[in-house]
Amino acid sequence: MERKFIIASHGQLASGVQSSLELIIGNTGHLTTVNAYTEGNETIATALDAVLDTLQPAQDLIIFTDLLGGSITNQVLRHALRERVHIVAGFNLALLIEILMADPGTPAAEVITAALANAREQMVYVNKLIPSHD
Amino acid sequence: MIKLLRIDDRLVHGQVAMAWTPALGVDCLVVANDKVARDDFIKMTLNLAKPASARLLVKSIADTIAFLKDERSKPLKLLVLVNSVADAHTLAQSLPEITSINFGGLRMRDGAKAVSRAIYLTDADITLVRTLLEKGTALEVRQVPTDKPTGLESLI
Repeated sequence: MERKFIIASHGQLASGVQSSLELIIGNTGHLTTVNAYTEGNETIATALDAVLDTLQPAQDLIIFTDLLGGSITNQVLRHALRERVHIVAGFNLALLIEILMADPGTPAAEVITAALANAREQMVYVNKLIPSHD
Repeated sequence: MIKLLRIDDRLVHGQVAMAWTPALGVDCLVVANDKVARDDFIKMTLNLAKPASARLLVKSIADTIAFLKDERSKPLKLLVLVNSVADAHTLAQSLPEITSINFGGLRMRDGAKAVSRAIYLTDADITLVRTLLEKGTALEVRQVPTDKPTGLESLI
């Protein structure tokens, strides 16, 4: 079964990163974005409920939040932590690409663990990779 | 075997590394370009851009043809990248196994006009495209695997 995804952020980071995802991997069908504290935006709880209410019994939901310890992660944790909901804080673009493109047949926990390790490696001081430029 | 021959003026970048490579199950990228094959700095930057799951080879057009004709390249799942219609045409003329070409990205340059959002072709390009179409080569415009492919013949 296809997974569902939410990206939640302070301000416009969530929809910004969605536009990057669409350029790089194309269609991001099962993805909802929550740009918290922006004008005219509903509360995080309302946005989460809209997705949680449509979740099938055997369907996984992965929620990406911008900052561990930030108010978005805290609210998601309080409101949405339950069976089959996975919360991943501190996303970067590489992490999102890998998890969104992962095979739905591989267990979500496995996909997330591997993608986190790879995404950490994607954060590099590029000068140090280049001979004689550090 | 060649999984895909793609024309993309950025050669190796996010769409190629993150989307096409896993979608095609490719284990080796071949950048076929005479200029890049002679430029160590660009080669290094392409190596930084390549996906971890695949090898990257950078070869001149002539060396690419020799490599693709060599039996030893047959077990590899190859994504061949060129940055011009002319280079794709040269490869297709020499390698009968190339029956389709993916048009991924050719940005605006002098004398080129848009045939789609990501593809700009010059008159010289269009002449080569017509030659390829007459030969029966399938030409699809598609930036990423999940996009709907569009036949180039319907756009020129």
